Amino acid sequence: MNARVLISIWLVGMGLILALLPNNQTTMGQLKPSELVEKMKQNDGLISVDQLARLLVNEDSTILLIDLRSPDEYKECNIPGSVNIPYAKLMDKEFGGYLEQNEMKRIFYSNSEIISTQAWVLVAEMDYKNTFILQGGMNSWYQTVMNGRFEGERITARENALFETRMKARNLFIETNSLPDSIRFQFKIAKQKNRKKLDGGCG
Amino acid sequence: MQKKGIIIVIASLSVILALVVLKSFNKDAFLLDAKRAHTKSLEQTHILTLPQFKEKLQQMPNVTVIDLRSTKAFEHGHFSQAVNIPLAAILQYPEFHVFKDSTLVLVSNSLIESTQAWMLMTQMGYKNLFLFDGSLDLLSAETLSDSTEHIGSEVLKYKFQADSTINLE
Repeated sequence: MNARVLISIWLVGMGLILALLPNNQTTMGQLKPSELVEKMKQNDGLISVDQLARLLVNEDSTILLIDLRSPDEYKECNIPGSVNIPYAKLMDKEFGGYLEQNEMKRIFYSNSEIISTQAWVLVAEMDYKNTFILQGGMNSWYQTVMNGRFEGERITARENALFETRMKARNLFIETNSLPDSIRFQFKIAKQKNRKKLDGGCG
Repeated sequence: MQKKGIIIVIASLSVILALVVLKSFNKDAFLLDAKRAHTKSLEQTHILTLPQFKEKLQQMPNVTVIDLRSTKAFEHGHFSQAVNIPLAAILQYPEFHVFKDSTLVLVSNSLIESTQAWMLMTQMGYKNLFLFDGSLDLLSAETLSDSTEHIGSEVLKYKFQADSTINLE
C-alpha cells in the first residue's frame, strides 16, 4: 500500500515536471513569431543601391558588406569592401563573428532579394540589430549604378550629386574588380588578419 | 479509502493533461529553429519562376494563392480564388490554420515581403509552401500567357567587363 502510494506520487511528480518543461522546439534566445512580424513591419532594414554607393564613396567604416553569393560569383565581381559568406555557410561557426555583433551595420546582398532576405530573417530572429538588405541586389546595382545614365534636358543640383556619386562608385567597382586575383586575394587576407587583431583587443 | 486514492490519481492526471494540451495550442512559438529553417531554404525548391508558377496555377483547386499585398491593392485586381493576407496581419488571420495542409503560393509586389512570409510560415510548420519569384506589379495578362523561358531573379543578368587599362604603378 505504502509503496503504491509512493510510486503514484513519484509518477505524478515526474508527469508534472515533463508537462512544465519548456517546449524544446526552438533554441533559446530566439524571437517568437509575433515579435518577428513586428520587426518585419518596421520595414527599416532596407538600403537602396544609391545609399550604398554614397556610403562607399564616403568610405564609411561602420558598414560590414556581406556578399552571400557563391565563391565563384564573388570572385567574378563584388562590391568593393565586401566579405564573402556563401549563404550555405551562413550558420557555420567560422562566420559567427560577423553576425553576432550589434555595432556595425550588416548589409546583406545577393543577386536579387530572396537569399539576402532569408539571411536577414535568420539574423533578425536571433535578435541582432543593425541588419540591412540591399534592395534589388547585385542586379539592381548593375542596372542603376553601373549602367544608369542621365536622360533629360536639365540636371538639378540634387540629380547632379546623385550621378556624381554613382560615377565614383562605378569607377571604384571597376578598378577594384579589374585588379589581378592574386592582389585582391592578398588584400582580403590582410583585412581578415586585422579583424582578428581587433577582436582580440576588445575581448 | 481506496476510492479517495483513485480520485486523487485521476485528478492529477487530468491536471497534467490540461497543461500539455494548453502548451501545444500555444500559437506564438516556432516549430523549426533558425538552423533548420536555413537548411530547408537551401533546397531552393520553394522559389517558383514564371513558368513554374503558371504550372502551379493550373492545379488551381488544390493550390491556394496567398496575396500579401494591402487590401486596397488586392481589391484593385487579383488572381481568382486568391486569399488576401497582408504580411502585417498574418498572425491575426482567423482561419490561418485551415491552410496548413494545402499547397500555398505566396505572391506580393515585393520579393522581400514574400520571402519574409515564407521564412515565417516555414518555421511555423507549413510544408507545401512556395513563393513566386516576381512582382505582381509587373505581371500582366500578356506576360502570363507568354511562354518564353524565364530566369530566376537570383541569377546575375550582367557580365563584368574588366578594365584592361588599369595597371599597377
